[in-house]
Parts: sequence; structure tokens; C-alpha cells
Amino acid sequence: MSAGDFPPEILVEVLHRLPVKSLVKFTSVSKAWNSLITNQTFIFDHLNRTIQASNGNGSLFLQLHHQTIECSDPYFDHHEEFYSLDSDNQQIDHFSVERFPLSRLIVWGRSTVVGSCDGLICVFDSSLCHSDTLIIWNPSIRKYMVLPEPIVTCMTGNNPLLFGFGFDSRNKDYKVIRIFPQVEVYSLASRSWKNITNRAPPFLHCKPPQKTTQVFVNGVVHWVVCRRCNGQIQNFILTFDVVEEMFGELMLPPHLRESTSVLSVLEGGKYLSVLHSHSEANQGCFRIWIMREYGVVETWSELFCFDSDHYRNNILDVLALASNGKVVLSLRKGTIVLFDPTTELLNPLGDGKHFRAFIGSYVQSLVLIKEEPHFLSY
Amino acid sequence: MSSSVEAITVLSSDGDEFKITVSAAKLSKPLNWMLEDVCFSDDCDEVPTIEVNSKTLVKVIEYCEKHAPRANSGASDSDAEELKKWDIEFMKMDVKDILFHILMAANYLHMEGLYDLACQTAADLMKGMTVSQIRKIFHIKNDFSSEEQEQLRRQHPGCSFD
Repeated sequence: MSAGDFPPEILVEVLHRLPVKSLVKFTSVSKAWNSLITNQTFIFDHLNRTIQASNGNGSLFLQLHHQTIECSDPYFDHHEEFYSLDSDNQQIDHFSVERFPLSRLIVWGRSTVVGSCDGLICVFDSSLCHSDTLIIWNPSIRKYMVLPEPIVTCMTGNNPLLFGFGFDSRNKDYKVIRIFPQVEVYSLASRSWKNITNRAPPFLHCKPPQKTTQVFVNGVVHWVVCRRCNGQIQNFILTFDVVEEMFGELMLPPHLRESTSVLSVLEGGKYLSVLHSHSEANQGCFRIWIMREYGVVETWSELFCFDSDHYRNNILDVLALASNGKVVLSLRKGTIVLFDPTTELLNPLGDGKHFRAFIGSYVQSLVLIKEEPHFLSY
Repeated sequence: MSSSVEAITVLSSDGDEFKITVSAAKLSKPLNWMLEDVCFSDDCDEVPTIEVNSKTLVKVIEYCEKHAPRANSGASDSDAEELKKWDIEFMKMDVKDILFHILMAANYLHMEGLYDLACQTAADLMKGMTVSQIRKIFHIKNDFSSEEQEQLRRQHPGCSFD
């Protein structure tokens, strides 16, 4: 047979196994290859294949971090932002550090990551009065988009309370949720914000708003919040179903419901997981809980627990869950490591020069490659 | 099916005769159908033709014979490890042979394992290639105008298209 009539279904199978970088390059082979690679079905099939393959190969993490650049005159000291990709599989060399390309768009504060989903990262300006700057960024294809201003801006209302980012699988749409407390949802498909009439149940923050993390699991965005009930603090998980655009609540494990310790949802892993950090007399204890069956409160179970005095009181925080039961930790000296609770071995992740890092599970994807002119390249 | 049959003879598209053991033939649905046909028919002299050239058929049979014991009985981890290494050695061939012969044969013969292996090996070989190397392998003409090419470059300034 001649090469010209190579069966397209076989070609697709081969292309599904190529990394994103090669596929972007091969969009310039011919018009036929271009429309094949940038086709919606191909993009999602490629993404699903990559996710499936990564289950066996280990998780990939994206880190966004800040580094202070010291100058001879301290007056000119400034910080620069970087991002890196790391894998918890030592055999895969994914490690790379690059300057965060969108720093110039974050005018006042520092970029903070709302969340990551299908290779897209949602970033916002963490200075309180400029949190209207929201960016959706796909590092694999080097494209980004600055979202238009929400309907209720910081100038007209209170400070935003919560952000969320997730995928609406019914409409194949990515959505940003902003609770102000008025609720607005940005839909990437319609490229606009809309008000949501479903109100969030009343809640208070357990942590400062900028530090309240979210995770997107099972089509739902989750935050740990609390409320006052008969004079008692009651912690719970606030949920937002991205398809139905409805709020809900999930109960925490009984031990955590009235706890005054710091609680947060944890990135990584396929289960909904919560970190419970408890400190007493300069000694910290970290407990990780996972919900083995989504939505079934009885299936909360403690995955593991360790004290901060492990490694000479070195553990500062738990950042994420990795594959094979490992955890990503930040240490007091500022480095980020992978910790295996069964062997108690620590392995550095990245170059060890991180500061205030966001770390989240990541997958390389072609999502939004065909979204000109809204998505800009760099 | 007669238990005395241990191997069947098939013809390649070039007309050469090849023997394949019954257990190895079970890795491919079409070969398995042929096997049943041959064994049940009264006229056992008829030799079925496989639309795969001799050079490729040799490789396909080699793969089947190697993988048959494991496929039929399951294997230990060390066997699986050994087989993985064997697969890597086995696939050490030109990307064009993989794409246009092995992959096509594995598809035609419904051999999932070989198909997956060939897809992955082809992808690994292709990922570092330049656009012009890809065009050459698949005999593709560049049908972009120079303006369109310029536009592609603008869309992906961080990407080298050479």
C-alpha cells in the first residue's frame, strides 16, 4: 500500500500516544493533519488516554512559585514567578522550570492558582482588591486567556469569598465559579459571566479567603467552610455541581465537624480528601482523610497521620496527594518533597528553591488549541 | 476440532508458505477462524492466504509464537518483565516498517497486543521528528499557503515547526 492512503483510524491511534508538544508541531504537517489534531473529539480522546496512561506512570504536578531576587541595594529586591512540572515517578524526567509567562498581567499582587483541570490552570491576582483579574492558562500549548470583568466587580461590592474551577462534562464546558457572595459563573463556551440565582448556604471561612483551597472531584467543586450553630463552630464541605450549577453540602468525618484546627481539601488522588492540621505546644500533627465512596459520609476514613516532629520537626505543611499513596510535603526550610508514609523516605520534588508554592495535579492537554482569537499565545 | 493438529500452514500475499502453531494462531481472531475452517473442513489440503507480505508475516508469527505461552496460561512478573524486554528488541525496526507493515498486519489480524505495541513504538519514534520528516514518511504534500504557514507560526510562537 502507498503511504498516501494510510488508514485514518490507525493514524489517530498513533497520534493519541504522542505528547502535546509533538502534536502542536504536527498541526503544520498539512491541512488534514491540522484539522484532525485540533478536532474536539481528538482533543478529548487524547486527554482521556493521557489520564489513563498517567494512572500507571505516576502523577504529574504543576508548581507555581515565587522567588525573591535580591539586589545589591535591598530597595530593588523584587520577586519573580516561576512554574515547573514535576512527576512523582523518578523514571520520568518531566522536570522543567520556566518563568511564569503571565506575571505582567497580575499587576498588584501575586498570582494564586484557583485550580487545575484537564491541563488548564485558572489563576487570579491574590491582592484583595484586584481579584477580578482571572486567567485561564494552558501551559502545554502556551496559550492563555484573560477573563472579562465579572458583573459584580471589586469596586462595586465586597471582596470575593471563594473561587472554583471545573469541567461541565454534559456541555463540554469549563467554568469558573465566583462567590462574592453573589454567585457568578463564567462559561468558557459562551465566553461570559452570568448570575446564578441558586444561593450558597450561609457559611464562614475557616481560613483567610485567599487561603481557602478548592478541589474539583467527581464533577463537583469542594471547599471546606464552617458556620456557627448554637454558639458552636460547625465545619462542613460546601459543594458546587458544575453541570447543574447547584450548591450542596457534604458532611466531614465526625472528628472534624467541630474541630477548631485547620481543615482544607487536598489536591491529587481520585478521592475527595481533607487535610486536618492540628498543632499544640509547637508540635503539629497532620491527618489525611479520604472519602472512599463519593457522597457516602460513612466511607470517610483516615488514610494516615504523622507528626511534624518527623524529620526533626521539619514538616511545614501537606500540599497534595500523589499516586502510590505518597504525599507532597513542604518542609520548614522551604523545599518541597515527596514522602512515602510506608517507607518514610523523602525525595525532593523540583529544584528545592520554592517559596509559597501552589502544587496541583496536572495533565498535558490540547484543550483550547483552536480557540483563536480569544486565546492568546506567548 | 482434531487434537492431532499442532500447526497450520498459511500463504503470505507473496505466495510463500508459513507454518504457525495452533496456540500461536489463537492470538489472532482471523487466524483462529481459519484454523477452525481448516480443521473442520473435509478438504484439509486448501491452504488459506493471509494478506500480509512474507517479510511482515515472519515477524508476526515470531511475535505470536513468543507471546502464545503467556497468553494461554498467564505468567509470573519475571516472565512479564522478560517479555517486555523482548518486545523492545522485537520492535527495533524502521518506523516505516512499523507503520505500514506491522501496524497494518496487526490491525488486519485483530492482534490487540501487537497493535498497541506497534502504535506506541511508532509514536515514540515520531515524537522527535521534524514536520518535513513526517511529510516524507507519509508522502504528504504541504498544502498550506505561505500566509497560512505564517499564521500557524503566530499561533504557536513557542513552537518550532521545522
